[in-house]
Amino acid sequence: MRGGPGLGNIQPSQSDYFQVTRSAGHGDYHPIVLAPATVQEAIDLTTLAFDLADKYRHVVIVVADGLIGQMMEPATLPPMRDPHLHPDAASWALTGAEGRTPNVVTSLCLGAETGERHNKEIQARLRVIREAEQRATEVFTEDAEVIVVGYGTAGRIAESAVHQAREAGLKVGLFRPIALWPFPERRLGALAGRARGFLAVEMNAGQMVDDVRLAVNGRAPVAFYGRLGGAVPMPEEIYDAITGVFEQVASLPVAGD
Amino acid sequence: MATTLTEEQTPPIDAMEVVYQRPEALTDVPTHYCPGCGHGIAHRMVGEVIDELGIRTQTIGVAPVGCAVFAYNYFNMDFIEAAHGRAPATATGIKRVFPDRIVFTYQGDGDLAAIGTAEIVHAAMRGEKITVVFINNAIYGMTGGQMAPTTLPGMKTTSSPSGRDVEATGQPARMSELLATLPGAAYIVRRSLHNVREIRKARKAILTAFKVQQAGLGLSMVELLSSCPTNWGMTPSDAMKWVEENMVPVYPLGDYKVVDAVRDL
Repeated sequence: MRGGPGLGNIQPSQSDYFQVTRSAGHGDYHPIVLAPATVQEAIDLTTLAFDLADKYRHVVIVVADGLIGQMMEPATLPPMRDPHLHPDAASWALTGAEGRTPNVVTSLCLGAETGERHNKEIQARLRVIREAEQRATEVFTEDAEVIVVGYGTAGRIAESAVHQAREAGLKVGLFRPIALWPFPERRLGALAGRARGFLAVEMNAGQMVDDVRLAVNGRAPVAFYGRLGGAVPMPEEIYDAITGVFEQVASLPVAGD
Repeated sequence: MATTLTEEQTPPIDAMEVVYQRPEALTDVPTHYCPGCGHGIAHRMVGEVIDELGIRTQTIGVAPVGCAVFAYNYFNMDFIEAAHGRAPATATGIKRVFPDRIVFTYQGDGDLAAIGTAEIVHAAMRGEKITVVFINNAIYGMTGGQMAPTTLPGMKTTSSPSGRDVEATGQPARMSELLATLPGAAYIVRRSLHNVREIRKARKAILTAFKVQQAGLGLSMVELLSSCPTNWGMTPSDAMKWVEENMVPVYPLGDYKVVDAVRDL
């Protein structure tokens, strides 16, 4: 993702969260979206993306911001794998109809009835994916009063800010979504019962924060800090935003009181 | 006057010699094509060629968007439906995963010469070892007879009711001539479906195009001038005459690129 809109620039951004998680093309569906925060994750999630695409026969997008794309850092390549067909592939893959009836791959559904039936099948598949493929990583969330939520580069920088805040004695944690769709709402919802406030950090004007608010579902205030147009936040900025959230929640009653 | 055999004179069915039948490479499904449309002829020839080469179970076809969008219902082999104009890109992926299979696209001029121009040009530039069957009827058929990049100068369509104005919309896109300039193209020819003699030549060219792929020589394409009686507003026979009299002068038939190795096939 690069700074936009339009031609924009080639600076790192997270401006396309809505586009990739909501509408990767026309049609009423979500792709599976994976967001790496390191070069190592970019490698690992790309491998996973192909496996998930085969498993669900569904679009998978690895969405990296411009910083991941232009960064060099040490990484370990996984062992090479022979290209192989998914075990179920015989029922749909186009390999030549030797010894079987032909397979046809098409998404063309001209009739409204067949179109709706096809969409319902896709929705059933999305429900399975939504259950099974939520992914996130956490730092210091066990006892955190405030939880910072950020993905990709913003999440990685936020982790530095969280460490600074912990050194300053603030009970803060980091929740970094790795899957943007399905958004890790189950775990974040559980944390919402314990934490007193949330801070979404993004390199955009506030997109993932909507998903954070849906997961938190009004149980705690959700603040937002974002940089726009290719600007990358410094850990100090996020640290300041964290302290702002602590000030905000200090006046709120503690859950259970 | 034709004689009709009475029931007593008709030989029993198992005593008859089969002289003409549906190729195995085609399904037993009635097509949706209009009377007089060239797609039926072209489908049959591709099916015959695939049978002749014995490659039906090794072949994967790529359908276009347009009138031939349902080609996958009519060809008895693995098939994929590509997005508008993207058949050469889809075929590229399949061929590179399975280099030992035969992969062909079947595309109209709205698909190949308009929305998919970039795909066919770059597939030829890369020398993809795929075969392209390109049906050119100088019009958008499925969407209702609008002007295409291939529409003839002065030709009336639903979106050029006064005739194509070349000052405003340019000259017809000659895709065979264009693709023949690219080193990755091995066999680029134009044939026509307007009479039996030309249809026979077209069939031979389709056979050669598939052999070019088998030999791994590069991209092969057969452009077929075809009729659209419905959108041209003509009878099927008049439409065939129109192809000969009006399309062939603009789209000369012939071999535009035949690399030396093709002669050894």
